[in-house]
Amino acid sequence: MNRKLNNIFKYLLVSSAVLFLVAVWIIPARAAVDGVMTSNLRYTLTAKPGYISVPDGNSIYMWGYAVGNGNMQYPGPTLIVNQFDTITITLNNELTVPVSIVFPGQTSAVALSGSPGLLTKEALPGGFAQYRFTASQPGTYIYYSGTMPELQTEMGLVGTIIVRPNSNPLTRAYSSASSSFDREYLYLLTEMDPAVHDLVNKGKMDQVDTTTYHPVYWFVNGRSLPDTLLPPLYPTLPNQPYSASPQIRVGDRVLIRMVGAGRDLHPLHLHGNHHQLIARDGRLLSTTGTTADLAEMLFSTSVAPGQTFDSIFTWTGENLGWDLYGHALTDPLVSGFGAGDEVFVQTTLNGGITGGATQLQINTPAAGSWPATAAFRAIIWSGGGFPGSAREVVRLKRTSPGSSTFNILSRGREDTSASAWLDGDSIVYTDHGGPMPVLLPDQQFLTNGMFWSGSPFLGSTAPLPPGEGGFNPYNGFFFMWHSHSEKELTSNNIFPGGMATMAVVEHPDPAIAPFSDIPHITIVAP
Amino acid sequence: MTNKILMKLTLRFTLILVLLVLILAGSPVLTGVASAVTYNLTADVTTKTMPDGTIITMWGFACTNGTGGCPTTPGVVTVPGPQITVPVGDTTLNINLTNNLPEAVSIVIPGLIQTAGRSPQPFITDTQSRARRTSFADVAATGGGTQSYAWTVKPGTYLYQSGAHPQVQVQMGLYGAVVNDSDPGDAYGSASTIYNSSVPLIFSEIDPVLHAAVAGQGGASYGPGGTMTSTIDYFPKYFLINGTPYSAEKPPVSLGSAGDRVILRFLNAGLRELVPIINGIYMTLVAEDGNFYTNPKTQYSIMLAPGKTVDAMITNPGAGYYPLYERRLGTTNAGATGGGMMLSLQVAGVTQFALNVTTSGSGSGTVESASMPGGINCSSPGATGSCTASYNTGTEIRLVAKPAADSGFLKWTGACTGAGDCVVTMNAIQSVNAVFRLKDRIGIYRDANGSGRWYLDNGTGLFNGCGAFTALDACLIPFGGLAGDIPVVGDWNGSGTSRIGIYRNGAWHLDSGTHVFPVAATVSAFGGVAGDIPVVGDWNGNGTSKIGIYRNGAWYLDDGTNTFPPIATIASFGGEQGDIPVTGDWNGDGITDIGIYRYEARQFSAGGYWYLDNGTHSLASVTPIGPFGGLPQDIPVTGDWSNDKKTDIGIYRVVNNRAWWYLDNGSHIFNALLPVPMGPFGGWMTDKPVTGHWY
Repeated sequence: MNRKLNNIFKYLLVSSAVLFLVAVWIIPARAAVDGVMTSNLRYTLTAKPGYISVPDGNSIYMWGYAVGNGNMQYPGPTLIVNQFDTITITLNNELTVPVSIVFPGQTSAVALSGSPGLLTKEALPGGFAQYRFTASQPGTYIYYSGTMPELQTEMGLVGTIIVRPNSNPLTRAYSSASSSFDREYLYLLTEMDPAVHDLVNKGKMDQVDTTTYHPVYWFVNGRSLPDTLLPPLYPTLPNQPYSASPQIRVGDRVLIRMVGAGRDLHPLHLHGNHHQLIARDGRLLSTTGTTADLAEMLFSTSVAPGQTFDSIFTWTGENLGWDLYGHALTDPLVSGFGAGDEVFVQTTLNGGITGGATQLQINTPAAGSWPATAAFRAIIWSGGGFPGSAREVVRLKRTSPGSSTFNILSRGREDTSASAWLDGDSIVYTDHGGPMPVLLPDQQFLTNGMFWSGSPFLGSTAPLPPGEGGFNPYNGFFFMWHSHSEKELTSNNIFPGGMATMAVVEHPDPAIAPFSDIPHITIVAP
Repeated sequence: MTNKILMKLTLRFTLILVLLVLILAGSPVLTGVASAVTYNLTADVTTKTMPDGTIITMWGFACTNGTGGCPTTPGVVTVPGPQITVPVGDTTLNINLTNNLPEAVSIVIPGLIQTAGRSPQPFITDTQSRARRTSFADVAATGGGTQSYAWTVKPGTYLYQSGAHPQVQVQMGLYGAVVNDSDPGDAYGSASTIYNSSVPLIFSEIDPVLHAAVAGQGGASYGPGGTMTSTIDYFPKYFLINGTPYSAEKPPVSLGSAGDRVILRFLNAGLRELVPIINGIYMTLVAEDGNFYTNPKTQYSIMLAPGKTVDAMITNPGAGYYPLYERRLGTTNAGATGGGMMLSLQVAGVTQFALNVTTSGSGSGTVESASMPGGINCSSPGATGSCTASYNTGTEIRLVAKPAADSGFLKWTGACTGAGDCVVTMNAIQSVNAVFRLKDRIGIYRDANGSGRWYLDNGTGLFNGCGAFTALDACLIPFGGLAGDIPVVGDWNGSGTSRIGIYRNGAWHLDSGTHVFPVAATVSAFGGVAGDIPVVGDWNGNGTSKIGIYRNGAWYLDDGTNTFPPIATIASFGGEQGDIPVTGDWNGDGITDIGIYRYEARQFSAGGYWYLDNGTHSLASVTPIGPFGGLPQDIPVTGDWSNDKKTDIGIYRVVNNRAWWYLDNGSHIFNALLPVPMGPFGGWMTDKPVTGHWY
């Protein structure tokens, strides 16, 4: 998939002029949310009709915000701005009804021109309205139409604003280090009742009753599974430019920006690990404003309409019960697997412990973030560099949650010279659990999916029968991120579909998994 | 810092005032003394009128002459029920419930410990012989039964509601807010919850089908064997905040002044999760379900589950209006946009100005505010309803005029002009008047042996007899009547009503409204050459009709001075043999345009062609509409049949002494099927069709 993806990127770079893009800005080696930046603090959006595709083959009539004179798009363009920028947005209206934009969370937002309406000033059909706000605080925000919102948000007039912090704009969501990230992805969640769209398309808008609204399609970033897996700006989805296909490395801090843009609540579940909710409505969950000390570890986040949530997801493989790297306890590290990659939390032993101990006391603060109840792998060594000459591999488990005393479940050596643990020895907690003894059946008995690489182990591949595989060249680990309201995993009653996508965890070594992660940032200068 | 000190001083002063008032009132309730407060509530039936006129039967509570904060006169039944304010320091709340409803009722307060009246009963035995509980607490029986309850109170915001048959009774309206503060002006005894004003916001919903079934309306009934057997099919159509859905007349909710601290108390008495949002204000969420948060949350939105209460503090931003609405978008009234759970929060400016709205004209209609913060819903006649509201200086208000079915909206006078939406900027006291006129209707001028008779239709398209105009047709007799008199119709004084007139050989008898002929003041010597055809229109768009002469292709249009020839002359538009001049506002700009109806013997499409001036006064540049009409006896008529302010075309056609009116619906289709003619109305040999927005 990734090689294909790269080809598509090249195609898109060539074709960008067609899309009214002034430039494509590439941030190397860091996946950022696709979106639109402005070089002169101005955006021009146009509300216009168009059609989107859904996976069951249907085409649905939509209203959306276009960039300038570009395609109607669903959702509207993700506006990426910098903290303290004062942004002016001109909204042209090519619809037959008034339309507007409201900016919840932008307390300075004012409507400069337009026809006064119930929530803000509106652009009349054929006319325009203008808005201005100063992005005083970083974060994830929503925008949508404030005119007949019960109909117009359903019709597609929704979008995201990302305000990058003044400091560390490319590595943090907020000024706090708690919000630092290696990659970021947008999850704008919507649902749809196609009957409403049919009526509007047929000119029977007066027959729409939004109180009997019955959604049967569900979307992430305007696409349903499996379209969520297609790359951004995919040619056959001209009005659904945004992908929702996280590609992350082991140990990455992945920022997930969740936006509830529909009318229903959606429990968004990120498989693989819990995620840490660090902000809501564009405000860090913090008592101090400096660290996200009120962050919550969540299995799923209930994404409510109009609200935004920022979460940090880190894939560790913790509690899988087997080792995705294919390790036996005492196996040497996988080729190319650098020391820095395996060290997640490092601390120092601070008690003289003998080699025959069955328990280990680790009081240092770093150990506080180690698993509360699960067994985990730790490596202990003494002296200089890592991987140095002396180290031991152990599996540890707390004697009770919160305790700083750990039972030593098993113990082995990766080298021959270590026999006793001394005060001052280093210890690292890694994600390596234990071996998984797998005896694969003969290939002739297998039907392999396109995402199967021939091996369950991260980074390992094996020969495949002709015609098999190919979507997973670096042997990533795919799992579903989705709404946990299972009904929403369908597209008009067809499973699988709806509000779901596949995230892939790749090997941490770029040499093994050299995937590309170029964001599609377009810069407009109206 | 200074602000805080000031706030404290203010609060201290307020506290002293409150104490003084309490002492003077002889109330037994004193701050700091643990005591009880008692409310006497009566559950009874009431109704609510929704903005679309639907009347909903509700069940609510009245506060009847209680000792704690209730009015001294027995209160009216309201939904939500009266706010139960437990005075600062009181630790016990007593409620004495009297039940006048057709079902047993109880009261529960989730979040407070109930100490009396809390037995979950009675049991009923269902059709499968199972004992089932019907209430979370002791009930007050139907027919005036009573029950006493008590709770131990702690500071917070709580929802009280019926605990009996709750899936029906709560929906029917048996809910309200309980509020208890820790200290005067301080909700939870924390510096973060000191407030200047407290704004309860109770969210609820109405499914009218359920209410009609419970009330037994329209043959509906609720319960086993009824037309509605459960609340499973729950489709609310009305979405209320504090018992009212948004509509144009709903005034903004005051938050006080800039910098004030306000506690917003959110309560969800509905059956669905709600997400209230305020555009432009971040709230600090300080408590949930009456429990103070050690660590408050800062959000612009609140996930408000059914039965939940959330307290949020705000510091008022600058003067202005801040919309609060529900983001699951129950922002409709029975499906119509611009309603539901929405309101404007007002931070008052130093200066406010009043907006006064009135209506006038022959027609009727309503003027509504269509923009934040609402407050105007003013109807004909004159100024009925919410016709005056005050706004912060600089507020822009958009008013829309909605004519009644039989009327059209003509124009604004006062602070607005023209016929579009009216936007007034409240930089001064503003007065706006909306002129409604009745739709253009048909009529007949009949020369009956020297007596000019006018039969003006009342809108039915049929002759209903002469008499009171709304039920019958207006018959104005005599007015004119000489052979050669030509009837003319116009709004001679700009009142919004069409008046009749007679053109007699260069003299114009224009009715002043008295229908007395001949009129006192005649315009003379305007036209008068044989073959002159009188035309009428508002040539300059100032709102009054003016006269004119069509003379063989040349148009002499009066400039208001009644001097002939006028300055404004169109040298040539039409002029062929058989051309008939027509006038109307073809483009809806308020200025009457000219036109020519001409029979053309085109191959395959012979008929009447309408050359409606496009502003160039060049007939050659006009693409004619047609064929529309075409029989030799057809007479072109014009009028705004659709009430879109643009003049439409039509044909008056006599067949067998009966006149049929073919009025274009905008499609310009004229065939055997369309347009469906009105009539018969008229048809005598001497009859001349007239159109106007009569009286």
